Amino acid sequence: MPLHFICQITHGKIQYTIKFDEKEYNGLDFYQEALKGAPRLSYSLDFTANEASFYLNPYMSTDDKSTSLAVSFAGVYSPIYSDLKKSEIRYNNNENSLLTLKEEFIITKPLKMEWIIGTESKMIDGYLCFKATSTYNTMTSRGIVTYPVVAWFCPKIPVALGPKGYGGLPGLILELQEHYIVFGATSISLNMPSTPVIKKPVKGELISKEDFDALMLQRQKRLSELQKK
Amino acid sequence: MLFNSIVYSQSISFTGTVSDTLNAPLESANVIARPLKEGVPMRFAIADHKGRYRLELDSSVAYEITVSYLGYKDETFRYSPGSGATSHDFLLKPSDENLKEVVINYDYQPVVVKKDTLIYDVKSFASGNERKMKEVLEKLPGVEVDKNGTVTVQGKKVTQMLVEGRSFFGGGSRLAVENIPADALDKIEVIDHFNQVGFLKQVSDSDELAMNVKLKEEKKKFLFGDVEAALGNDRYYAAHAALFYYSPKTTFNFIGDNNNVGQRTLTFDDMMRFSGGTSSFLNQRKPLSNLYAFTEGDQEVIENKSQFSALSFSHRVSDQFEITGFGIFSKLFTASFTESVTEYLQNDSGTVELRDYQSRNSALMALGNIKLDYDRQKNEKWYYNGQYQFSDNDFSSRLTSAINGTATLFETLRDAENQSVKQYLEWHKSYSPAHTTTLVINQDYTKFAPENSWNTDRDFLPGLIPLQEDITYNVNQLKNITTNNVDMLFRHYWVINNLNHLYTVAGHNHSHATLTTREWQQLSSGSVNAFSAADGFGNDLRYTLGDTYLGTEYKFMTGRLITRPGLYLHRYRLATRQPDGNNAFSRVLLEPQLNSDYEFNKSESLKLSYRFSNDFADPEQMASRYTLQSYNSVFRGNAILRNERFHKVNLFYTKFSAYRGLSAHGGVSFSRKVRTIRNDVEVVETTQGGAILLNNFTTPVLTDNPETNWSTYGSLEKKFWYLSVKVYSRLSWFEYTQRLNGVGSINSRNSRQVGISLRTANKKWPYISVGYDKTWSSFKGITRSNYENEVFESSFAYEFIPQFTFKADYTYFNNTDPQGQHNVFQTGNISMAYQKKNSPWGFDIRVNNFLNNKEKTTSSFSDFTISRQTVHLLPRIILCGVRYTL
Repeated sequence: MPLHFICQITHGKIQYTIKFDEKEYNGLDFYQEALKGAPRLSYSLDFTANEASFYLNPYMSTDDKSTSLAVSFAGVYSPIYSDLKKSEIRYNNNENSLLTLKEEFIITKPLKMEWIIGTESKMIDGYLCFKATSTYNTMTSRGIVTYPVVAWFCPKIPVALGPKGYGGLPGLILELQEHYIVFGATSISLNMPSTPVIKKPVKGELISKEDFDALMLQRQKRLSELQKK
Repeated sequence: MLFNSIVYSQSISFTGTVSDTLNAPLESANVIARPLKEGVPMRFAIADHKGRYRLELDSSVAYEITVSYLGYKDETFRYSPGSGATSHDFLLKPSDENLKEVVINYDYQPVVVKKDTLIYDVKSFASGNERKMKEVLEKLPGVEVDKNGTVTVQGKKVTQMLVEGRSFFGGGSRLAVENIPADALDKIEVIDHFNQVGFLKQVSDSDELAMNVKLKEEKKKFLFGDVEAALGNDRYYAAHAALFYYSPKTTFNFIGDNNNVGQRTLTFDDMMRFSGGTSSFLNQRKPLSNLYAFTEGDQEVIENKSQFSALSFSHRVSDQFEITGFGIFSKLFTASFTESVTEYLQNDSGTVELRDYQSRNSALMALGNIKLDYDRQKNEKWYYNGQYQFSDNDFSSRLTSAINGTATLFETLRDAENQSVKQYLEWHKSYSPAHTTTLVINQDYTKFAPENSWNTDRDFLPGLIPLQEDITYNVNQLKNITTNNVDMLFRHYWVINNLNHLYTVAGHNHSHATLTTREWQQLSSGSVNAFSAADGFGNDLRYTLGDTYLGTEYKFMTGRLITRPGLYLHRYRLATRQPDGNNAFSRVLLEPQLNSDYEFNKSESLKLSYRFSNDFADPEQMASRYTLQSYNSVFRGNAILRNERFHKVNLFYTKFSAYRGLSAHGGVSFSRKVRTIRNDVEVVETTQGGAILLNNFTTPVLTDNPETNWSTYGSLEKKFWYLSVKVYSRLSWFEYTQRLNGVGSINSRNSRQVGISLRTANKKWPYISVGYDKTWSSFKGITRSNYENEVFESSFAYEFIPQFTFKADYTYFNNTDPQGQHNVFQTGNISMAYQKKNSPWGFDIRVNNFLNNKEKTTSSFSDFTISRQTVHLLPRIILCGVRYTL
């Protein structure tokens, strides 16, 4: 196997699978259906020297509603684009929302994250991985809500990226759990003959995540006023 | 790159380079320093484009510094604090890993996340005087309940209401909040499901709240409900009771109704609860019984007396096994009065018949339904539904028919007893995410046995029925149709990959029927004149239709288009045994189909479907002896009818935008029968004793005359400010060939409809809705004819003083009949209700049909007639009612 071309990892594609915590919405029919659909979904992380994109692979819905429900619960509707030069993540708002139009906004947030790396480690199919934790914040009507994010990264794979725009760890994130959903890497292709085309959001007004959350709160309030009696 | 770590004052920098054996730098290589002492954090560094790295280490701790890089063997350097080493260069040797594609096999499992749960201990907040859960909730800090039973906690809506961890009577929060007795409550849990996604298309980046009610140990069983009674003028009354019994494993729901004002007995919510609630939406199974009829009242009668009772229950045997069922008993008596004017289209002038029709019907119905739901394992489900239905209809009518002035009187009595048993069994198993199989067995047994009796003072259907002369004529008919259908289907679903799915289906449908008819004349002397075989009467048919089929459908996606072609191979066999001879034929037929979905995006799609199918005649169409249908029509089936063949195409567009408040639908349907079974009609005019009678004689015939049917539908609904506006339109065109008295003519029936409706969409305002709909219908054949219908509807509801609600509705209906005459019909209802907050008592006054409009006129077409009917209605009824909530 010729070695010289491994020196630089210039581009690649990583496939991820998804799994939900079964006990999360106990007793809810829709969630049980989503559990069935989750195994049929897969996500891709494409990257080049300066950009990366995480998105849902095209899928065909099955006759029951399980696959589309799983997509809803997973929450990745449009590509999450990482601009490594500008150190920023960009993605479009949810197109099915009651509060926004399709492609109305491109939400931005800083790429840099606060990670806490402990000493825990485990092997994922022969690859040594270490645990890093962080938090995800979101603004709701009850103030800022945070919930935990756990990532298992592998230093042997020198790609500082991961699912859903997470990254910046000394190694590729092979497993990421955000709240009750876990993304797991299933295959890694590096320096393939063709460079992947990086999908990114094109239409929409640029807005920071903080400003977007505040705007949604405002719109939600207005909507509740109409529905209140 | 810095990571969150505590930098001790005594730290040293450790640097170096990472390169391969050819001395080329390994950019981005990860360097990890693992401390050999407890409690000290790990340190990380990433090599730059020149392979250089820098670590900040605690000067007093020993570390194991490792560099790893895909495609190379790991290298480790032992750092000891006292050694004085401040740098190390790593040289990595290649390993023999395959780097083209690294595959990872690992069972990823989510770690259970502890949820934020807010628990309210009821006794700390409640005073003990509250009656229902709603009053207790209002006393909990941060919790509010609105008029519709919606609960919010700190401004966030509760989207899931559970009692003891399960949904409450399959419904939303309203039933629970307004009915659970306050003294049964122990704790109220509010569970936050933080979710980046609001499912069910709600708010994005929101959280879902679930409220779980925990009941006191000794109060886990309770009864609730409400009872209403109302009395009106002229002995009109209405009484209704809805009672619920709850316990963690078993629930009961009883609904009773007794009224003579034509009001509906089941609300839409009741019907949904009986039919299985939301889980049936996910299952897409057709229910065995259609209870929708009970949700509609019937005021187009002159008398209506209904006694209704229904009981539903559910019992959870175990976590996997649940039994539900219901029983309905209904006794309904209706009397109606209709006048009609019918024009027969057999020649240019057309003959006109005037009819006065009065009927009385007593219907008794008993229905029992049971469902078993068994989740054997996570991937296997069994479902069984069985229903038994018995009904007895006692019907009598008086019909006066007049043509050119002379009238004939007919009395018809019918006693029909029906019994049916229907069963449905489904077995569903997932072997893996890629393979699923389903087995469905459906069985349907129906026995229909009407007894008809026709009474008149003149002889009728001369030449067609062998009547003997008598003072009055009394002809009786006994009919018995028993059918038994068994359908079996086995289906395998294979998810080949993300973009390709394959279904294979094999099945057999078997239908067996027996049909017998017997007619005779009861002479006033007491003896019987039986219509015999020699006269051409007396059916005795044994009918079997078997359909064995094998099919496959392949679903694949290219870009945004999902295509699903399918091919089914059917082997049909139709056999009949009758006194006049036996007939059988079998066919192997190919039925292709195609379904296409183009998804512009998640909320906009275009669907196309095409099918080519075969339809076979039913037993009645094949019974080859004469059957009396009514006093002026005789039918004879055709024993050699073969299958109809037709193409059907549908195109359907839908767009939905939640934010814009926009919803649009449109569709086009086209069907073309290339081989049709249509009735050949002969209309014979006879004169008997000065009276003219029009008799028709009908036989179904298989022809090659094509029949074409087009229809299109479009609707657009948009929210403007605080109003919701809907506009819709429907067009249809139907062309067929009708043979009347041996002459074939191409007839077409068209209709055009447009409508617009407006309603208020702000809960702070009164509810107002108005709508206008106009339909033009036309018929073209040997003659031409048109009629128009115009409807204006409005309804209003407002709580103008707290606790007093006023409701009113008004409908204006204008029918322009084929003769150009306008017939206007207006109706309206008013009600006023008073419900004191947190009190079990409520009062109301209702006025049905306050304009006291007694008749309603409509027009219609049939194969060879055009008619205008006027039906008489229940008069103005004023009811005063009282309601008590348990």
